[in-house]
Amino acid sequence: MPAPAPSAEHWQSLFTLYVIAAVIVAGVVFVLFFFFLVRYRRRPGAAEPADAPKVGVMVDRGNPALAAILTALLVALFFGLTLNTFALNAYLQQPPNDPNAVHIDVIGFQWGWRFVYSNGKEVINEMRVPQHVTVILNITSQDVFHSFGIPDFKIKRDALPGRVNQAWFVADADIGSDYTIRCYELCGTGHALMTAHLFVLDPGAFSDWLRGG
Amino acid sequence: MVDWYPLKRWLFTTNHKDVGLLYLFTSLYFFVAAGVLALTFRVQLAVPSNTFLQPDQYNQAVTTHGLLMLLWVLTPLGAAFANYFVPIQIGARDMAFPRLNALSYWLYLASGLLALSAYFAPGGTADWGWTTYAPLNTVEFSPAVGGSMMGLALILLMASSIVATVNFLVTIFRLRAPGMSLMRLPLFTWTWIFTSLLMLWAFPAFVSALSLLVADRAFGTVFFTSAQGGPLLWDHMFWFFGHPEVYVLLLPGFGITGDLLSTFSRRPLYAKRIIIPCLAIASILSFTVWAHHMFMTGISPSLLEAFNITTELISIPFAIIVLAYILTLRGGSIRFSTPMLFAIGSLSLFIIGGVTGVFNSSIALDSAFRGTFWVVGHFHYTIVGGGLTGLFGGLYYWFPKITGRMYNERLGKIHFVIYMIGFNLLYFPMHILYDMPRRIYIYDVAAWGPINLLITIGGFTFGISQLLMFGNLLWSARRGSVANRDPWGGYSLEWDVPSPPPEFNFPEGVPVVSATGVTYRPAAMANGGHHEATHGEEHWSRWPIVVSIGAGIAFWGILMGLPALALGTVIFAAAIAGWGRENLRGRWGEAVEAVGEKWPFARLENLTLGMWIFIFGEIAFFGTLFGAYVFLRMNAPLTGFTWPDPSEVHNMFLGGFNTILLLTSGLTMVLSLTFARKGNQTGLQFSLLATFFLGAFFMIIKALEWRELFASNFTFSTNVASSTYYLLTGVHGAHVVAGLVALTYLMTKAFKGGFGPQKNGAVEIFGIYWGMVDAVWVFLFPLLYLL
Repeated sequence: MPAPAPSAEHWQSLFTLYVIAAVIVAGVVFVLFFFFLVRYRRRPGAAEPADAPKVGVMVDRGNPALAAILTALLVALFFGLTLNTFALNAYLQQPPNDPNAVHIDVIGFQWGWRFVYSNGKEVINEMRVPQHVTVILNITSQDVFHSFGIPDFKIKRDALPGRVNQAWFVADADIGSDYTIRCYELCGTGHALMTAHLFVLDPGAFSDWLRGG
Repeated sequence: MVDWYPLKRWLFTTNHKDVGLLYLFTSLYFFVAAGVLALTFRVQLAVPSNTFLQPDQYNQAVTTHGLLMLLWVLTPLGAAFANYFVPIQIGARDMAFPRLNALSYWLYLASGLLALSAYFAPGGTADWGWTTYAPLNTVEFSPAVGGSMMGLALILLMASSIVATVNFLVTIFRLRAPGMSLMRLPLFTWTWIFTSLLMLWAFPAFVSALSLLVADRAFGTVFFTSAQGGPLLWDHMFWFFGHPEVYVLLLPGFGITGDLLSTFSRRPLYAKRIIIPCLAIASILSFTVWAHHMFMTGISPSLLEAFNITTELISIPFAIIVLAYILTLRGGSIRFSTPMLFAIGSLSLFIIGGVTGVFNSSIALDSAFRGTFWVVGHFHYTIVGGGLTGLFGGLYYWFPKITGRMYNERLGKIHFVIYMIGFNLLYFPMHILYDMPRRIYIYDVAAWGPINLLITIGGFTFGISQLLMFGNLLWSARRGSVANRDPWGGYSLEWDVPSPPPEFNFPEGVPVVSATGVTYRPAAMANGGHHEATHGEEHWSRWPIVVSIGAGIAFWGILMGLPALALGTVIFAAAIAGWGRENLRGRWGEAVEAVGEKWPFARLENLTLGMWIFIFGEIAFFGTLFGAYVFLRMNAPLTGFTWPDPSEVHNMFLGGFNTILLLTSGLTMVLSLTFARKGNQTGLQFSLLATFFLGAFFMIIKALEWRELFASNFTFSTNVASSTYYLLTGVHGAHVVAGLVALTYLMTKAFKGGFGPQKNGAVEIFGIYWGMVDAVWVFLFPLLYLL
């Protein structure tokens, strides 16, 4: 299934990269850990190690070089991961300079979302966007701390009173698709119900809808 | 004759082991309470569109579960072991300040009862999630009085923790047995040092955030309701506390895990000399990662990228420690007793939590994870998996030492197996739900149903498995086979004393540690033949519990009305006076200390070191408040608010005069100390009197200023500038009043001739405190009156 938005596609490949790194690292660690547990289990009749713990005695052992090597390996790994993270972050932060972009003001309230288009058209809990066109959101809240998220697009930004935060996306999904917008910060008793629809429209149909009553 | 001893013992004890047991029972009680709350909301979420809980009930359950588990369960459970075992592990007879130790416990209990009572307040308790985000936490959106009560309960708990922190640090740095160098301390004691240091800096920051919150809710200030403060001010203040808090929760259990891996593999801990600096680095870094909780708030992207990097960096010291733990096993002879199984479980779960933590460091991946069950899964793996599992390992490990009896090994192993199955069923599937918002009470997405059902089944499995432990331990405490001194072959000193340890820990004398082991020096030589009665009066004081009762009632009264507030204040004041009288009678004179290891604080007295540590915490408290002030000033122009010109609002003459008064009182305090050291009684008496009157005069003028300002319509709620003024001068004034109370005690003692050239520790530490109060004003005056 193709991704419904480029943001989701990029996010998914970054996530996969992290998962691969995580599985390799955790795999090595667990193999070593459990290998030692099995290999050095107590055997009947075997003598205790010569330096077995004794009250009040501290035996100093260890090798600082291992810590240095591990640090170097992790720094290299994090360097790779972070470059990819920052690349995606730059993409998510900076909308393309698209003269045809659709601008929508998103205002969270207890409990719902108000969408105001640049011609003044205002709708509650139903956001309509044209397919394949840049959509720029200016997100705020009129009461408490909300967080605006389109989980299927991997788009999220906090909606704070007294502050406008920007997010953007392009919907590549099929015309007529209906996605869920959710609030991701506890905002009172209606938090769970603070959802809205995101409808993807054909650009022509979108223009008609926007101009219509 | 009724034998009152048991009752007296538990209510008035100051023995570190009894206090430890009180902590243990209380924290396990809160564990059950908070666990049952979790089960109720897991029932609610088990299937889509469930109606078991109403949304307000759900929100209260989630909030209370989080706050109780984090602050009233995990840290106090660690404190239980620390109380019981840290003094023994360092080779001491008791804590440095036994009465303060009892006070910490009773304040903890009072705060917990206050937190629980909030549940039964009209309108219910706090319902904003444990993170208490602004402005949902303000009266406009959460009017219930229970929310404010929870805020006060948290402040009281923080006070308890800060007292404990000072006590533990002085104890560990100053009361070590001869030869017990810092490097020889067991890892558990080391992790408790870092836990204490983290608490010392993070908890006062939380107190300052909570002060703003309670001021908003109870007195109408506008920190979180105004655009200048609002959500971001809370976010910064809260997470500056909140992330170090994560390590406060983790470290005690994590340290126990290290000691257990070493003991049960029969090998010395690998690379202890590297582990300890790693703990130090991680503790410092923990204060530099807080904004990774704020990746989606839209604040400066380059700043957030920096936090992305610090968050990755903090995993490196932990990775090194994990590797050291694993290498400890190499070449060992591993016994899989129950404590070891829990240590293995703790490390395994912590590795998984650590790996998912790297995902959370990614500012870009956060655009999916923020506010979802992924995060919930991650942090439960670290603090429950890593922290609590290690603490439970410690509970089994130390059970024979505390009770003198063995637990049932087979039941312990069954508990472990069910615990691990339940845990992973409970928390692993949460990572799959990375689209599902956390803290929603209901959902209608069919695909989330089966996963949530699995989580709920795991939750019940995990919860019920704990009954096996409780049953096992309760039964074994009476019926278990008798344990010898050292069933495990441990290396810390508690394994060289009888089980359970006698009242003063080391019956054979003062332990002397050397490279070859421990020997004992007869006690009479070391402590000057100190009286060691079986139930020594030395170990009793009735004032810690009375102080706490007074404080609890007074805090309750702040919200519930003047009679309760007055009653609580009277009890509190009377108890403080009683405490002081106990001092004056010399019942708690400075104990003769054994000659032991005191590096690096050999030149300071216990009291002086304690005061400096306390001042360190005060710096964090006022530092965070100044940080909030800077944030508000910088944010004001962005929100179109013009900060009023102080010269048009404030009476410069009074402010300036007050500054001179307070600085002069600093000079008279210095004089007091000089006179005390010279043994000049009259000089001491009059200089203390002068300090007192200057301080009192300062407060009177302050009150006149407040009245004048109120009359000119500059009130708590006028704007963020007025709120800041009242809050900062208010908390400073509270410090001055506390100082005046202490001065009353010093004057009483001085007029009785209680100080001498060699005996003036109380004057000295008060001098330090008063100097701090002066120094804070030196910052406050220009900030509030000139800028």
